[in-house]
Formats: sequence, structure tokens, C-alpha cells
Amino acid sequence: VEIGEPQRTYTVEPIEDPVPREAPPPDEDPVEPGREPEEVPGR
Amino acid sequence: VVQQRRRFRLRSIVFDTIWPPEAELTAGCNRLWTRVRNRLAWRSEHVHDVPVWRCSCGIHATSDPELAAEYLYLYSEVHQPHVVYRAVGLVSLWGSVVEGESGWRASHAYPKRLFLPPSQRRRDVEAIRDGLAEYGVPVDILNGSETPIARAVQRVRRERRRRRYAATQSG
Repeated sequence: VEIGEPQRTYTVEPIEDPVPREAPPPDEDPVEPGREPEEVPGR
Repeated sequence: VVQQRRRFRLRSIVFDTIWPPEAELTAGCNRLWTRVRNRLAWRSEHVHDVPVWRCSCGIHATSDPELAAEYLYLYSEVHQPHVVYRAVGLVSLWGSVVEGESGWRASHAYPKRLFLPPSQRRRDVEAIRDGLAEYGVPVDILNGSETPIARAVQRVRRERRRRRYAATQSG
């Protein structure tokens, strides 16, 4: 697009994010690692 | 609008830059003469910060709906593989911005609203509209003349038809 002669320059910080980003999945409770079966001494 | 596998994506009219859905587009300077002068490969790192006053780089937007509507037909006579349709729209620009007499060049952009011109291939255009929904912004098929962009597209299409008709009469 032809925008013509430059007039001025500036920096724009958006007040809110212009990108509709997909919401991250909700945090899940950490899964307790499965316990190894204890070795039972043979009789 | 281009089709990549089964997905519709927005692409720059001039470059093969794809606008990614759900992520901002960040501009780089792709001017050929700049790369030749600096002996840079076509796809190397950017030449300088974008945009700058002395260059024409950056993501362009205009404040004139009619000028934007003209771009619906830019290079339309050139065969462009994967291009399935043209879209026009409103855009959010941020970061570094150069303001010109009739528009802006910016370092960052994301579509705010998209418009597709009407077509006799109604189902195809509806499929494209549905596919572009991945950008998460409203996508409308232009109909009537309620909005400035709809009126601009109507005027540009009418003018193109008039020119084509005049060319057939003079030829």
C-alpha cells in the first residue's frame, strides 16, 4: 500500500493484546508418580 | 488468501509472507535492492530495524478504504499458485510505526476484522470465510454498501468493469 511521504515516527504499545491467542490449558494438579512395588523378601 | 494443505491463510500480496493465526506478524525488510547492495542472501537475517523512515519496509496499512480496495486486484492478472481469493480488512498495528500522508508502516500487526468481496462462487467464499475463522477475528462476506469498505469495494469493482468494457469496445 502506498502511504505517501513519511510524516512522523512513533512507538505504539497496545493497551491490550491485539492477538486473540488461544488460552493455555488450565494448570492441572501434579500427578504423583506411581510407586514402585516394594520388594518383599522371599521366604 | 492462500490454501496450504486444507487450511486457508492470509498472505502478503507482494511477498510470500504468511500471516500466522493467533500470533503477531513481525516485519522484516525484504527490499531486493537492499539485499543486493549488502550482498545478502534472499532469506538471511533482516537488514535493519523495521520500519525506518528512508526505506519502504514494514507492514503497510492505509486510512483510505478505496486505496485498500484497489489492492484486491493487484497482480490479479499474474498466475499465483495457491492464491484462492483476496481479502481486505482492518488491522491493528503496533511497535515502531512510520506514519505517512495516507497510511502507516509498522513493525507488528494482526488482523482486527476481515472482509471478503462477494462472488458468484458463494459456497467457495463461505468455505474460505469459515477457514479464516482460525484467526479469531470477525470475517464477513461483503454485501450491500452499508460500510465504507463495502462502498469502496463496490466502486472499485464498478470501475474495473467499466474499464474492461471500454477496452473491449476500443479493441
